Amino acid sequence: MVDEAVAAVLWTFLPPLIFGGGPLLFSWIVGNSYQNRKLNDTAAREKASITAFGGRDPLTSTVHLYPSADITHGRLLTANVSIGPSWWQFLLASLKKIIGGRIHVFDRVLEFGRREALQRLREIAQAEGVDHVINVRLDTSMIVVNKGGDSKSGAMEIFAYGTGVHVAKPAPDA
Amino acid sequence: MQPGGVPQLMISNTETIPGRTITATLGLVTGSTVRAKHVGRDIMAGLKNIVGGELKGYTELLGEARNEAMLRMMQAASGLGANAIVNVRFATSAVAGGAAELFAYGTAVQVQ
Repeated sequence: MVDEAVAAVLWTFLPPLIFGGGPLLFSWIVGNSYQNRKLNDTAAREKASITAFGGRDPLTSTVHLYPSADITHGRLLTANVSIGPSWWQFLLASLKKIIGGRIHVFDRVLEFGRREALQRLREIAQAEGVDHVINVRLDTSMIVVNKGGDSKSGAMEIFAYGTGVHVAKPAPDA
Repeated sequence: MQPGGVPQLMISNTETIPGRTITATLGLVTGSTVRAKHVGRDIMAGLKNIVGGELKGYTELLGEARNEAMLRMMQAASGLGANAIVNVRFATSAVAGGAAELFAYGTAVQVQ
C-alpha cells in the first residue's frame, strides 16, 4: 500500500521534474564547469603570452608609450568574441532582478568575454611579431537581446582593437 | 589594385601611422555592412546558450562582417588616392531584431 502510494507520488512529480528541470539542472552543472574550464584556459594562455613577451603585457590603452621616432612601423590588429550566459545564469539573474542589486553570475560571463577578447589580441600580436599594441580599445554590443521573462537566449559581442607597433628601442621600464 | 581586390593600405587607430609623416589629409572615409544571422546559427547559438560561454557562430559571423566593413572603408580610401587610414573607430548597432550593422570609419591620409 505504502509502496503504491510512493510510486503514485513519484509518477506524478518526477516526470515534470526531470523533463521540466532537466535542462536547467544540466545547464547548472555542465555550464558552470564548462565556463570555469574556459576561464582557467584563458588565464593559462594569458600567462603564456605574457611570458612570451618577456614578462610584460603587450597591450596598453595609451598612445604615447614611446617617442614616435622609436616606432618603426605599425598596423591595426583586431580580435572579437561573442558570449552568452547560460540558462541557469539567466534564471538566477531574473530572480535577482526582483530585489535588484549586483548580478554576480553575469559579472563572470563578461569577465570571461573581456579577458578572452584581450587574450586573442595578444595572440594575434604574438603571431604578427609586434612589440606592443598601443591605444587598445574595447567595444561591447548586444547581438541577441534577452527579452526577459522566461526568454533564455541572449548574446553579446566583445571587440578589442589596437595598433600593433614595432619599436627600435627596448621597452621603457615601468 | 585590381577591382574588387584588397587595397594595400596602412591602417591604425592612433592619430598617425607610427613611424610615418602625414603629408595630406583627404577626409573621412566610412564602410558599413548590415548582416542578419541565419536560422541555423540561431539554433546552434540557442543550444549553446544552455551552457553559456562563447557562441562561435556569432563570433565568426561578426568577424567576417567587420572585415567587410573595413574592406569597404579601404576601397573608399583608395578611391580618394590615400595610402593610409588613421584614427579608425568601430561601431556596432542592432538595426532590427536579428540584424546588426557593423560600421568602420577613419580619416584617409597620405603618408610618407
